[in-house]
Amino acid sequence: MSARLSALWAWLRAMLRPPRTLKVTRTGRTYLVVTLGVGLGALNTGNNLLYLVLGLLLSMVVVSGVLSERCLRYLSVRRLGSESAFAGEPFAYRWALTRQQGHAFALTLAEVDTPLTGEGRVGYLRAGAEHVVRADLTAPRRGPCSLSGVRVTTTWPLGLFAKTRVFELEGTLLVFPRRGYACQLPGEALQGPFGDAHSPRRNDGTGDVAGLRELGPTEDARRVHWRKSAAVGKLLKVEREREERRTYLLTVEAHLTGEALERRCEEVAALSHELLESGHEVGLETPGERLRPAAGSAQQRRILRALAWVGFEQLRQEEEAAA
Amino acid sequence: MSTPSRLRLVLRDLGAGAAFGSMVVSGQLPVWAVALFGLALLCALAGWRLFARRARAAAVLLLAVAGMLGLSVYTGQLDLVVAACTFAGLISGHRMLSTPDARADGQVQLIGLLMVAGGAALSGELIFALFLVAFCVLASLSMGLAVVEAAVPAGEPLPVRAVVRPLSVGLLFAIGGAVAFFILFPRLNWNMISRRAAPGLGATTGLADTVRLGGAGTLKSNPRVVLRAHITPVPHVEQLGAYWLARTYDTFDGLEWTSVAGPKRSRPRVTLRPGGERSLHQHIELLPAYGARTLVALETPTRMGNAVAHMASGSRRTSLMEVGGEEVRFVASGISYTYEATSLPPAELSSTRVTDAELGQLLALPDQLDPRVAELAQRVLAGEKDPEAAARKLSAFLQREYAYTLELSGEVEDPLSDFLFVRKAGHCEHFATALTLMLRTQGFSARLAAGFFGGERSDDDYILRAGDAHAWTHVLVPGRGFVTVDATPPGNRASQSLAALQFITGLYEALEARWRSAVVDYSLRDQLEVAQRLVRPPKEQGRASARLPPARVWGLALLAGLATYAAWRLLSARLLAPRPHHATLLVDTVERMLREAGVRRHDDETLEELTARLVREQHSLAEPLAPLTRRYLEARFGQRPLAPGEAERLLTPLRHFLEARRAPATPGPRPRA
Amino acid sequence: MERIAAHLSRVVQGKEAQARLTVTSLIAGGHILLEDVPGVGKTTLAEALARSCGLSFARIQFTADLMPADILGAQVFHATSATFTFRQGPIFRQLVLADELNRAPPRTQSALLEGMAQGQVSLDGSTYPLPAPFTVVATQNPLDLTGTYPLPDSQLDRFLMRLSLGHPAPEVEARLLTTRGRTPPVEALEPVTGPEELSGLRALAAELRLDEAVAEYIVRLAKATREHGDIERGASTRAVLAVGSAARAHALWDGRDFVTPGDVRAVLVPCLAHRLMLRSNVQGAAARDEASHLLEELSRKVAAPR
Repeated sequence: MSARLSALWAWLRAMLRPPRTLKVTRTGRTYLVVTLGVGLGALNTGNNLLYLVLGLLLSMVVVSGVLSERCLRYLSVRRLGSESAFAGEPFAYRWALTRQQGHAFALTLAEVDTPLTGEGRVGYLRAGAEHVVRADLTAPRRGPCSLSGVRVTTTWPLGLFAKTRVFELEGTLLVFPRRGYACQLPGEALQGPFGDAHSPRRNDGTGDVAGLRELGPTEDARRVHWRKSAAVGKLLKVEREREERRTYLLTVEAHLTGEALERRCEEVAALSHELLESGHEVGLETPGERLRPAAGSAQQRRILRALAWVGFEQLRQEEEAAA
Repeated sequence: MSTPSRLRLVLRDLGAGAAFGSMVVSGQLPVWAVALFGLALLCALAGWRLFARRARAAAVLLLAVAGMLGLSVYTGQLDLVVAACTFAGLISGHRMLSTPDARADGQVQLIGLLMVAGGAALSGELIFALFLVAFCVLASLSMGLAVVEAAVPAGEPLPVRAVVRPLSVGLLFAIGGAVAFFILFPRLNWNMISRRAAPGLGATTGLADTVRLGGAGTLKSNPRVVLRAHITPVPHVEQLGAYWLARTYDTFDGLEWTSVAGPKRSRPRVTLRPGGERSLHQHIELLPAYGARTLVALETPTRMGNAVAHMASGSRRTSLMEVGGEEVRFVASGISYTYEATSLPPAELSSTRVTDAELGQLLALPDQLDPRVAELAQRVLAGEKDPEAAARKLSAFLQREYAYTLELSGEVEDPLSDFLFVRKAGHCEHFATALTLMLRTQGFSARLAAGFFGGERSDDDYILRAGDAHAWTHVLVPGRGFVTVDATPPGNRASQSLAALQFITGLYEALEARWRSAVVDYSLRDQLEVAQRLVRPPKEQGRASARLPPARVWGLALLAGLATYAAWRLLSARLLAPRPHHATLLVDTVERMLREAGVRRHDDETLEELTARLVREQHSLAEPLAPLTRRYLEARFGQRPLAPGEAERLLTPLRHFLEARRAPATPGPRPRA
Repeated sequence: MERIAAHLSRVVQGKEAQARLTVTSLIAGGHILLEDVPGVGKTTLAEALARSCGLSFARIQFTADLMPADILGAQVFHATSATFTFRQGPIFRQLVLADELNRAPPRTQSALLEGMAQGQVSLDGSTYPLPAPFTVVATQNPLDLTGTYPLPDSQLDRFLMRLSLGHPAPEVEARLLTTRGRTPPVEALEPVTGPEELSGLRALAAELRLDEAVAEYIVRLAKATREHGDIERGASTRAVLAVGSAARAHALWDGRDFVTPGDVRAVLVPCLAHRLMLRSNVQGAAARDEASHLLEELSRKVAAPR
């Protein structure tokens, strides 16, 4: 019974919600004031020309409403999402807009009811073609961000009113932790040589030849491969490599909560980035998940995903169950 | 938004120009303000934003101008409304020349709107309507472009064409809506204080107190309309060809005609002579181009009154003053006037009260009159004693022997003898003067009459042009009063300007009259009429019904037009669509059959891919489908068209297969597709 | 053709589609770029291709210190006759496998690419023609970018197709493990066709009929790539031609003498994906995936002629 009631209530609410919302812009406010003034003047003086001007002003308001409505009709939106969204810094986000018929102008897109800030703009959308809108959004915090809909706003045609239409579109955006500064040194490596060498690239002339590179302006001339240089006619430098790849296991401790947890996540993200960049293998242990050590950019994404879900394990299970 | 689009700024500035123009047509703005704004507009159009740098100095300058305007309002030199409008124009010019950012754009448009409202308050000219529409179009386009420009990423072109189309359609609707609002919105007040008079281009004729012979006759070719009269009963002729009397002259000094009688006291209405039964009633409007204060009426006027003078500051009733020489003047001076007059038709006998002094002047001759004039008159008349017959004889002689010309070179000592004995050519004043004086030498009383000749139909009214100005002769016939005799050849009496020019001014005049009656003077009464006509169509009667078919015919015509249009759209869409290939029809059939059979497909799988997939999956459907698909591809892309009937033959196995599959009551699991 | 493909998939198991595309490219007279992580059988595929077609084969392992002369050959001084003679480099083979192409410096890369484009080699002022069916199969590893010289776009354009083998399916991998010893090694492959037959096939493919509607379809697809919001630079005219010739070769599989839209769709992604320049700044494998994804999306959106 109560379920039916709540369903009814939801239906009623959906019915009562206006399909479009309208906001008067600054210019629009001035315009309305002038219209009012001209109207008062016309009524007061009985000057027919003022009536004519008033008629024009009022019908421009109506036409503006009709044109903006036409602009928002026959529109469909889908999310293309983002490559990678980091908290606290702008990331590129994309929507795809399609119009079945007619033209649309001056659209502004944004996500509804989310902490995401930023909006994308389209100047002109012609019928048929799918238009990809890019926006620089910013998410304030790490973690999954549930998206309920896309808001499309237009000030077309005269910039007097901003008409908004909301497209219901469920979705989730996973926001990776910000890569802060890694203050702590990583713990001892699980494998590989120990010591203070951070990079497996060697500069001491030992190790296997990894490749030849042209000598840069500030680089050590002792590394020049003279025979090859003579053959090519310019200075080539030998790069050497040694099997020094090490393996690290980073952990996000289970007892951390709140600010401390965020801090740790940022730190781990930064550390893993640094280590993976310099060619090491990194693994991760979080309260809900354990990633085996691996190298490369794919591992980095895996680590970031795992970090983003820390603290939201419940949601994650639902998400995976749904998918 | 990087750099604003040039086109949008030009539109914006032109819109502001149109708004300013709507005020300029009233002719009341100070010339220096018009010049300043024109300069600013030119600079803005050329892209020189002079005040972008020195914003503060420009603001101070503007403030100084505002102070000056305020001072001139205080001293009474300038009307407050005019001063406000002038200042709005100057601000607009200032904003146009500053940095074109969003703020300045908004201000320019806003001030444009205010200027249009000001223009509406200042003038009622037809051109105002043109400027209003121009402003509306230009400003809307510029605003629309601004909205799109703000959303287009930097570096991408502005989709001007795409923007203009929906906006123009919207504008058309807006103008239609404005007209509908105008017609339907109830006028609740009766105090019409619209300013309906504006000097426009200034006056032309200037009927003077004297008529001086000589000078060039450029006036005759001026096509501007000076008078508009509604005559009841309506004469129903295209060219009225009547004499419109302004005043008469009785004294000639060899060069100039003057009048002896002095002014009388002013009255609200003037009766010149008793009216007859068949009087012509005229409602006359003297337009700004007329430029004098003398009333004009059809010959022979009996009564004049009900005069209203329209001034820049409003309309006012004015009383009339009889001056002498049958001239009646308005006491108050205005830009234009309206009044009522009644006249006796030309055939009626009219009595004129003439004072003794005036009567004496009717035979007076100038001191140094050439004696040959009297000789010539005597020779022509050959003893004729009846004044009217004598006048007709003389005028016939003059029309026969003398040529009409407008090319007169400057002043001469004795214009009359120059005309009669040297040049033997002249214009209407020469002819009229010659006739009058020749009559006087022979002892007949006569005087010179000045006014207009003609009357050209424009809608239900008659108009006179500046070029219709004319002079003729009144002969005093004892017992009948003054009789009109015209010595000028008939073809040269009316206006002689270019026909095309006359046509254009006539058209403009008709439009302007419509505008005045339908827009400027639109009132609650007109609204009631419109409503009545909507509710109860007027009884068709007489000419009206013959000219306009009833409303339902219009409705039917509209419906027929719409139907034709729809049919044309449908047909053109049909014809323009590429005709599908024969093989394509085959595919359509196959796809329909598959759909009916419930074979599901991926989003946009073509038949080719579907078949390939089914073959790969070793589906049973592949067997009948594969040859079909192959043949289709051959026919469509391999230039081996299907033979007649082949399509049916190809489809048969598939049909059999599908039927066989449907036969079992519970079909097995459908192909996952 | 079928024979070649069957032969190939015997060696490279579970990769029938890629094998077919490889042969398609070979018949279309184009060069192939295999891009994948090491160890999925790129080299094996190329070698098997050469052997089953009976082509002369050379493999060049590209390294950082490889010089152009190592590929093209060099003038060698003969002490006995006191003359210089031209010693042909490994490029003078009908099928050249350029392994890890992006490891060599650009100068060396361009030496190979010039040969690919011109069909001849210029050295010390004299030109030497390359053998008649001349095909280059280049491989590169898109993930490990350290110490590499990525190919410029103009060079990528010279490859008709870019293929990615991908990891074999688990069951195939399992079968590999169990039968590793018994599968015929590449060396054991018998040639099933010869260079002459291959040339014949090429001539046949070039004469295939391309219907106006199909041609227009290709052009529309190319136009869609140029107008797409996410693509910085769409398909060039050369790319359009490449799709055309690849589609022609693909049509031979069904023994057809005309090209269908299906052929076009089959070769679209391998022919175009590497030629597009995307607007987003993702690099390496991600860019490749995105380009393929975009192309698939486009081919769904642009309606095929019916």
